[in-house]
Amino acid sequence: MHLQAEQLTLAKGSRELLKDVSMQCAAGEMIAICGPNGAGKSTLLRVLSGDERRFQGGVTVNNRMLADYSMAQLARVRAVMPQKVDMPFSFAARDIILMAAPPSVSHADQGRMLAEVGQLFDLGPLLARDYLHLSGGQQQRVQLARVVIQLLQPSLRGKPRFLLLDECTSAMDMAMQQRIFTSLARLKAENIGVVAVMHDLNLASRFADRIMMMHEGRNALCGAAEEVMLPGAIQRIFDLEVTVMQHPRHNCPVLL
Amino acid sequence: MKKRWHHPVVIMAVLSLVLVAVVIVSLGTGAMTLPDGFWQQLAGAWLHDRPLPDKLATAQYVLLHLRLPRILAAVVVGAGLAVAGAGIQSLFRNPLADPGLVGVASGAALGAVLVIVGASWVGSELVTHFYHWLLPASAFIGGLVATLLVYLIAYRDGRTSTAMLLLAGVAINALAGAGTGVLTFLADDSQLRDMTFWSMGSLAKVDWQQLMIVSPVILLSCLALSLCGRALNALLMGEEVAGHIGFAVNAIKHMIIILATLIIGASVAVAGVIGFVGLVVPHLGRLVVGSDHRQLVPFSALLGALLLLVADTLARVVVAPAELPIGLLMSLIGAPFFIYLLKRQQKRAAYAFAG
Repeated sequence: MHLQAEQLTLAKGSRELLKDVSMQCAAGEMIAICGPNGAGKSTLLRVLSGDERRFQGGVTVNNRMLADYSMAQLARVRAVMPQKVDMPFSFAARDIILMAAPPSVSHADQGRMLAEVGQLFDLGPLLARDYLHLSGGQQQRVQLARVVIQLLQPSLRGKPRFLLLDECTSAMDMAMQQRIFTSLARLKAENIGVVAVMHDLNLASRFADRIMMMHEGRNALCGAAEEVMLPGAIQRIFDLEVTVMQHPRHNCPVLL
Repeated sequence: MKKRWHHPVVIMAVLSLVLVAVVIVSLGTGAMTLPDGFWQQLAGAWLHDRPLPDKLATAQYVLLHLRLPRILAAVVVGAGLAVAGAGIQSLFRNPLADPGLVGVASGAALGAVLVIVGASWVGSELVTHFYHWLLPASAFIGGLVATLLVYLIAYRDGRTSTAMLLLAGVAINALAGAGTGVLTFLADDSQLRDMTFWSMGSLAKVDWQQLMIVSPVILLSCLALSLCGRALNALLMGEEVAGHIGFAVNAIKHMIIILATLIIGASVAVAGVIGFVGLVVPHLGRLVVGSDHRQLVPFSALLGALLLLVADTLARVVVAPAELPIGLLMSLIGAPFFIYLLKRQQKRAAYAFAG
């Protein structure tokens, strides 16, 4: 089962934000979408999540057209983490997370799901705290837990589902970013596909199965880290001279 | 985590009992003092099916036909305004949003003033005869039309942008205000007095008939809003996020606007413009039971009912046998209290306002 986009083109006024973009993510696979600012990464994610509906081309989720899903049906096959969630009201972190658990899920199951995401994202004592009192990185972890818990209902277990994440660790420190992506990679075994927009190519190289490099609205390059993280390609896309080396322990290329 | 007596259910149970107590106290207070031993004699007369002496019959009439409908109206309107406020604040994701934002109140005021001033122009028997009904009906329709206009302006391609809703509300409010202003300019002295009575709000003219028409509208709308607590919660994180979670966001937005408009339109129709309840009560509610709408909406209903009933009872008693306009009293007490709350919160910096 796949999340698939074919020949997406999207223009706002005279500016083409996406040009003929095709991509595919299998359930159980992690794809990193990288590229310079304004390359169309977030726009692509908005199209994939169903937020942006005025585009040319086709998006299918598990072989069914995106437009044929109702909001409620879509919520059972994919969850979305936007770049920024603005929550101006006071709630306990746990209540924010449980907002994504439908009322059909029993109280006991909600508790189990909460414990599961709590462990995945190292939330522990944060769960009882007021969301407004948390730091930016902590709030991001709570939002991530909220997004993931949506796909962990008992009735969805094992089914092909997708996580769409837009810079989901941007406010976190280095160590936390690695911990979070380790946890996200564990979700692949649950038959969950992960599409993550991210800026840190080294993080992408270590955790993603494939990297999709976007440049000026196009899918410039897509493949395993070794095929994408090439000095020439980076030079062309980012206009930056880099050295690529092999990571001594993780067996993946790193940028210097 | 929470102490047991802090549990929302306990708090709401206590509040309900207080409300019942205040209803009883309010029945017994007013310009007319009840004769000694009134309740015992009344109970005795009812139990043994005896006719009441004249003096008691008058008292019973005052209680049943003047005070009781008015008290129930205060309860229903107070609950309605507070619930509408909670709904609108969730829609606009702003704890300081007021139900008036979507234009209902100013549209209703224009509708009312149109009848007050227009009746003398038309001057027909028919208008004079139905004046008592024409006024609330016109207010209700005025409120609906104003909100409909705001809504149509903000509507595009099957979606309503909340920012546009706000701006269109400002424009329609200004327009309706101007219309009311022109009519005020044209009105004579007695009409002006009627208009003042209307714009400052009063429950003095509510009778059983009006109450029976308005209550189901308000109470059913309140019930409907209190059943979508989860959706109201999700909307606080933004429309897109609510959609991601699986809510049919557009349908829910339409529903909030329709229900809030019905509530406020019906309230203004019988009681005139009563400010502050819709703004302050949900805010107080958040301090007591938290922001979760599954508790906040029913709590706001209780608190709004209690607040308006207390205010109306005071309005009847303070300068008896005359009375204060309740809208005036609400603002007089509400505004300073609200400022106090804001300053206290600012000091604690425990609360972020939508920006």
